Parts: sequence; C-alpha cells; structure tokens
Amino acid sequence: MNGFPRLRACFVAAALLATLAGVADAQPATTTATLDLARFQLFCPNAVTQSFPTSAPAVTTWLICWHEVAGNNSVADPNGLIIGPVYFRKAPNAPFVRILWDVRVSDYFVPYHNNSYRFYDLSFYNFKLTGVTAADCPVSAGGAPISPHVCKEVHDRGLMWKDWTGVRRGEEMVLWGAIAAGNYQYIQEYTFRDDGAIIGRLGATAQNLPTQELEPHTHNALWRLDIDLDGVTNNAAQLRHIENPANAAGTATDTTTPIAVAQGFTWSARTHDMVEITNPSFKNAQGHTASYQLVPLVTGGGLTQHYEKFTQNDFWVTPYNPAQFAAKNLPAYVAGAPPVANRDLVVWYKGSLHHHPRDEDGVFNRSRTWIGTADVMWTGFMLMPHDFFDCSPFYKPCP
Amino acid sequence: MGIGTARSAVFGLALAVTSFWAVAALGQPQPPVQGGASTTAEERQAAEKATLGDPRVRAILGAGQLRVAAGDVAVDKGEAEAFLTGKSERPPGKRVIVLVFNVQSNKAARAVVSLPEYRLLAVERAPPDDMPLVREDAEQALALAKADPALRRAVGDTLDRYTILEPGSEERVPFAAQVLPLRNSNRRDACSVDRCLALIFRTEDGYLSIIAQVDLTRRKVAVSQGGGQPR
Repeated sequence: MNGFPRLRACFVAAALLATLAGVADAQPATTTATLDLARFQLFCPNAVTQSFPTSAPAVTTWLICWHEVAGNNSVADPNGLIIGPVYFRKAPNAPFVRILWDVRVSDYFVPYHNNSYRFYDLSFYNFKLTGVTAADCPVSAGGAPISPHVCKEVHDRGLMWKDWTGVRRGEEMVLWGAIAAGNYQYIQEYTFRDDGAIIGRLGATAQNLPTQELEPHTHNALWRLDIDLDGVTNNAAQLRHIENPANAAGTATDTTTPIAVAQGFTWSARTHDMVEITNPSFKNAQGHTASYQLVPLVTGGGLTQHYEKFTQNDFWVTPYNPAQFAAKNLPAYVAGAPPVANRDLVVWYKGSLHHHPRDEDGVFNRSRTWIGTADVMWTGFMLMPHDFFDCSPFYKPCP
Repeated sequence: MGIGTARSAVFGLALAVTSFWAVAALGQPQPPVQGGASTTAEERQAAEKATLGDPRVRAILGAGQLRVAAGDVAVDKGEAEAFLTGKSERPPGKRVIVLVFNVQSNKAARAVVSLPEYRLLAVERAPPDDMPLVREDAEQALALAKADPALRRAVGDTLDRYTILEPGSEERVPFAAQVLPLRNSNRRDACSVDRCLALIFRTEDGYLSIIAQVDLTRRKVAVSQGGGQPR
C-alpha cells in the first residue's frame, strides 16, 4: 500500500461517481462504529486535533479533517476549503462521535439589482483559494497558517456563561481560507467551539464590480452540509416557533415536523426556522435523543430570493448522493421526493448578504479608476448541539 | 508509511500532529495539500490524457476543439467508512472525474478514472452545461476582446498588454484580465445557452470601469463602461 500515505484527505465522492458506477442511491453501512484513530490519522494526515480548554487538561476535543480542492471542474466538485470528516469528543472518557462527513460551499450566487449580471462566483470557473500570510493569520490572534492557503486560529470567544456561581470564558478554533473570484474575495470560515458548536460563515470583501461599482446586489452562499451524526442513519426535522401576537393568552409553541422526503423550505424571522438532525440510536446519558440543530445566523434580518429556483428556498434536505454538489441543481435533486427518513442525508443552507454600495467601498479617481475596497460583510449558520452533552459543558457542578 | 506502521502509531502522536508544518517536521506522510491542490497537476494531467485517448469518449464527442476539466481525487464514502471503523482492511480507492467538452458539437462526456492505474472505470454522456469555463476559454475570450474596436477605444493602447490572471494567483501583473463566468437562467438571454464570460481589467492602480462580455459560442463581444465620476 505504498500509495496510501499519499491518499488525499478527500472523502468527497465526486460528482456522478456513483451514478456512473450504478450505485447513485446506495447508502453506506448504517451502524455506528468506533473510529480507529490510527487509521483516521493515516487517512487524513493533515488532521487538526484541538482540545479545550487550551491551558488546562482537555475536556472536549475536535478531530478535524480538511483539505483544499483546487481543480477546474467546480460544477461537480466545488473548489475551496473542504471540512470533513469531523469528530467530537464531549469528555475525556467519551468516544469520538462523528458530526460531519463533508461541509463545503457549493456556490456563490450574485445577482445585481439592475439584472446587469447574475454571477456564479464558484461553480463555472476555476476560482481558487488565495494565499494567507502572517498578516492574515497573525500569532497575536492565535493564528498560524496550516497551508499556503489556510489559516488556523485558536482564541478566546468571549463569555461562555455567567451566573451567580461564577463566570467562564469560552474558546474556539477557526479554519479559514479565501476564494479569489475576480474582483471579489469570499472568505470560507469554519469555527469549532469548545462547547461542540460549529459555525460556518461567508465573508465577502474586496473590489466592487467594475461598471457596477454603485449597483446594489446580493451575495448568496449555498452550503452543502453532509452531516453524519454518529453515523449515516440520520433524520431531519423542521423546527418552528409558533406564536400569534393577537393571542391574549400570550402562549407560544415550538413544533417539530419530521422531514420524510427530499424538499426545500424557507426561513422566517418570525418563526425561527431551524433544521434538526438526529440519529435514532444516538442518545445522551439522560436518555434523550441527541441532535445538531442548523441555526441560521442571518445578517440584516433577511434571506433573499431570486428568479432562479434554487434560491427560492433557504433550506433543502436531500438524500446523500456523491454525484450531487451543485446548488443550482437543487430543484432536480428533490424532484420525485426521494425519501430521507432514516437515511444518509445532506442539508443545504443559503445565506444572503445584501450589499448596497457606499463611499466606504471606494470612489472613482480622476481617471475613472475605482479606488477603494469593500470591508468584509458576514453571514452564516451555526450547528448547535442539543441534548448531546449530558449536562452543561464546562460547568463545575455538572457531573 | 504502511498501514501496519500507522496502526502502531499512538494517539498521542495524532494529538501532536496538528498542523501542516508539524506533519512535515515529524517526517510523517505528505499532507494532502500539494501545489495548492489535493490532486497533483501530474495526476490530473494523466487522468485527462487517459480520458482523451479513450475511444468511447471520442465516439461521444466527435471531432473538434476540446475542453477538459478534472475535479479532485475522490474516495467512496462507504469504503472510507468501512476502513476507518476497521470493518475493512482495504483502503478506499481513488478516482478522478474528468469532463470533456467539444466546443464545435456542444457535446460533453464524463469519465471516471481510477488512480494510480489511470483506467477508465466508466464513460457516459454529460450535459454540456456541466462544463465549466477553463483557461483555454479565457484565452480565447481575451483574443476576441482584443480584436473588438469598441473595447480598444475604451481601454486604449494598453489593451494588448493585458494577460489572463490565473485565479488565486498572487502575481503582481501590471495589466491583468480576469474572468467572471456568466450564466443566465432567463431563456431569452443568449447566455442561458451560450458559453459566456465577462472580462474585467485590473491595472496596478485598480480596476478599469469596463467590462467586456464575451459570447464564446457566437464569438461576440459587448462592452460596458461605468458611469463613475470622481467625487
């Protein structure tokens, strides 16, 4: 097996691989099994292992595989920073539990208000991650480049909790790179917190589009989240907060609607829509079914929709298919409503940034050259553990 | 490093090996990022060569000018899971997907190529829409743009000095042309069917407020200029 050490850490089954092999709908084995750490390290030699707290004996530990895709077939195999598989250990004596298999940005879609351009800023050209240096990734921010294009930062994340018994600050590790897409740069950032939460963010920055420097537009990031909670047999449900402001009783309810078949649906600011991923056989010590909840981190209060069908839902749930990486094809992926209950499934989420240009983005000089740069705007999502821990993490009275 | 050796590795080593540099320093297996990609250029080129030489691919595409695109190395998820959990001793196989497009016939073919044998495991027709723009398209577009009188008037004599800047390049090219792919979902727009791209032009001072929209299929160029005025 001389070639195996060179096996790239890419677990991503490329587009149409299974279709061509005639196993597009095949589901991997469903049983939960213990991770062989030595094999993991061999399989993913650049894996990042991060324990928290950083200045005391480990309590929680992340085991994160990552790699960079820099091909020229970005419709089928989107370029950029790819995260996965990812395992999390909630206590020193607990097993590593798989959380993610593969997380990546499928595409950036950027329509301009005047319909002058409708750009796909990832899928139809070989945009790649650009370089990071000590200036991007300074030691003072806990940073260290882990490749020519990827920065790792480990730092304080502010208060974790504060109550009458005391206070604790949290920590996190961040992996990021930036796709250079012509005049724009898109930061692909993934944060792994000490409390088991994962945050994915898009940061849009650099130069406004030539000729459209002052034209409003939106940047939509479409993430493909192949979540495997303790294995591949997972379920998805839509969570909503229901409350009628005219109801004098002042009551509200939370609803959980299982998602049985592939579909897309929208997010609402009034109902706090989320997607919950569970594994029927995975429970915490309280006997509660553990889950990870996909929580939108919406910027500016909204998520935009456009003429293109794939932008008209904010969430999509599809069965796992190694041939499916193109967000633009989401309506086709859910056609026929294939089942997703008790299956290996993939969740897709669209985050939007509304960019109304301002003088702070830049101005024209006398030769009508645009001078200036747009500061980073952010949007993203959180994957939050729910009934994953047995009690409050990092809280001394808890067992 | 063989599997048996790896098995003997203690987890403490894994904890210590937390970065690209640390891995290199400890003499461990080469990290997956080589030359900025998980697949080496040599692997990709070899996979492309094997695909282009396959008679089944030729039969689908016919004669004409070809474009080739290759993704990253992929492994089967089921095989990988079986290996990682000790259910299988066999490491997952490596494969690369190669897409080939005939510019003249507007036909595309997709092949699955096994590594390191570079054997074609499967070949099929592919939708031409799945073919991204590649460097050859960019060069062709820039040539068309340089021949366009309207663009020459807008850019001036420096137009001939522009060269395509490869995405992700940190190179400080004084006259850089960059590609933005164009697709339109509105069927009334030619670029809903045609292969289109926009060229933007960067000098050391900044971007010109000019876009050349190039329809590669119809070999047409349309020039837009911004109306920006100094403030």
